[in-house]
Amino acid sequence: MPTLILDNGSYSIKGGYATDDCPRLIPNAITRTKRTKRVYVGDLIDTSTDISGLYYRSPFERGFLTRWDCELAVWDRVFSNDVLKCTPTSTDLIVSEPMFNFGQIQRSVDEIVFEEYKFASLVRTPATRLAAIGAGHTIYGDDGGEPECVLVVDIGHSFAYVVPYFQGRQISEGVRRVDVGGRMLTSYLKETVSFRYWDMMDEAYIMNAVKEKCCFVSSDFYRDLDAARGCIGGRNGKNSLGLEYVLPDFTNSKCGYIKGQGGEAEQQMTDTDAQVLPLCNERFAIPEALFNPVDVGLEQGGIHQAVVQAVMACNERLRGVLMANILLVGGTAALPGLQQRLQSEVQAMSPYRVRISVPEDPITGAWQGGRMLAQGQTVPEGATYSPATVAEWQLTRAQYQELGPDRAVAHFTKFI
Amino acid sequence: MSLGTAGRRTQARSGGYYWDKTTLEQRRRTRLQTLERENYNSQPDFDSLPIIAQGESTTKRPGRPRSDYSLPKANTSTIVVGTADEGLKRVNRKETRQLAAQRRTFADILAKEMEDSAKNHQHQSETNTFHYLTCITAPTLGTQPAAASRSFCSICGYRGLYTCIDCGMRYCSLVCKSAHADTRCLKHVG
Repeated sequence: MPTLILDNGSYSIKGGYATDDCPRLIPNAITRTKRTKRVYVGDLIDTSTDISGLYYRSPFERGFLTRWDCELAVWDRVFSNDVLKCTPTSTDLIVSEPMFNFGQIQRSVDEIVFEEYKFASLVRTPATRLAAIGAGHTIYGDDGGEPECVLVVDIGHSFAYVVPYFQGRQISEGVRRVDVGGRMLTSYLKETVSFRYWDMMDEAYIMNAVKEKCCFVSSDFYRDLDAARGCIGGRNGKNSLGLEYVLPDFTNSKCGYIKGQGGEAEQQMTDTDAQVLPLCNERFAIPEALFNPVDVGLEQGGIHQAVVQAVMACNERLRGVLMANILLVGGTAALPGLQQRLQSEVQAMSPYRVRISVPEDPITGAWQGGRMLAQGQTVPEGATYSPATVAEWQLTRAQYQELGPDRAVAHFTKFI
Repeated sequence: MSLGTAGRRTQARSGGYYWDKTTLEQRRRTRLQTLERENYNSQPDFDSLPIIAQGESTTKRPGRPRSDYSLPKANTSTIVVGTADEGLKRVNRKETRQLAAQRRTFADILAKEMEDSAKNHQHQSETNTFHYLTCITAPTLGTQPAAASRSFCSICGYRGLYTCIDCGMRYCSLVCKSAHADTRCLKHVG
């Protein structure tokens, strides 16, 4: 029976079978264009050429699945013959959820999976747990499965979680959250750019592309801020930190491009007064919010403080091992320079040697772990501990009907 | 600038209070709320558009399936899921439709979750429970004081060393100050 692994994120669903090498990414929202008022479910937005003023109707609120009408629509699209071609009744499902997911939401997920789609079996677990299973491959380079001790830093769309794992179990007193994620960074960039240059408050799609292409994490913020001074307008050549981003006009390019790196779209551009966004200190000042949430008005510590607090909350004997086995996953973790900066910030506050590992594609980190779980590669050779195997972990439909919704939720709590 | 001058400025120009802690705190909260939203402007007409499955009846009268009803092309009254040839890969139960019709905000669900877990833990003798609200990262580390909050120039983004006496926004140099005073100062707004 094929196993479907669904990393159900608030920005995108990473979905694929255990036999696939990498998952398909489907935006987890229903979108509507401004001008033409056309509605697109999930990845159908890629077929549209006009994405200005794109409005998102998301099933998630603050990182939790609260609106099932949207989620059912997106899942219908994901399981359809155009995308994953899934037959739920003969498929095993591994689905991810946020950390400390609410009981009501857990019950509704179980109900939809078993009573509505009628999947054969279910494993419902936090996304960080799946990432921890894949950590052995990233940290040690082998297919040895889950390390005995790992600290997962998952920086996603809604928030960033730091979760310590020991022998396959999370250390709940050591879990820490920072409410800064990809969405916050995109909003911060929109706000800054709208105040300084052009009004982009309705252009989340475009500003997200700008953030992914132009932003990076500086290793010394104040040094770069001084270097970028006087770079208003970021004219190329005057200052290596500045660049100009050509905004899309929807005939030549869909998302726009960086001047000088546009390729085909740039060559075809004849319009000399295209709208240009000059970016300089915004490129590295925006991601600073991850380390200083006070910049966006949030009274919380940064992700480096979250890591240190998480480790200090754990047993003294585990601290050194946790610091040496930090795994960084999630969409926002793909920002260039983040790993080095987090490494230096945490090392400055830690008496232990800090080592941070990032998989080649941080977006699919949790999904790859789910795939290893499905293939049974969870325990390294010669290990003295044994985290749960899929067979113990999964809940079959028959068991769900026997246990009922409340005890079904308790079944998964056993493995946390 | 002495404290006395700042106090007088608070009420001077446009009559608004820009400096007192309550106003600044309110500004911080509103700004944070705006940043945390998925969309800047809400579109309630789109948010409340019903999503129905192919072949599902849109009327409330039972026994009238509309499987061969073709919706007009630029349909703006419903969103239809599922294709005609494949059908729906799920049952589309009444309970699911009720669940899908729920419109509960995150705050409601969080409140109910806290209520439920309080009830559950009354029976157990656990003293420490960990949940969504206990894992927030504190801005300080143990006994260290929190780092001073920093500001950036509202015009160019460099360090915001100086503050506009009329509206409280930051600037870094005389060049930015004049740019601010010309068009951006909040005294023009309120």
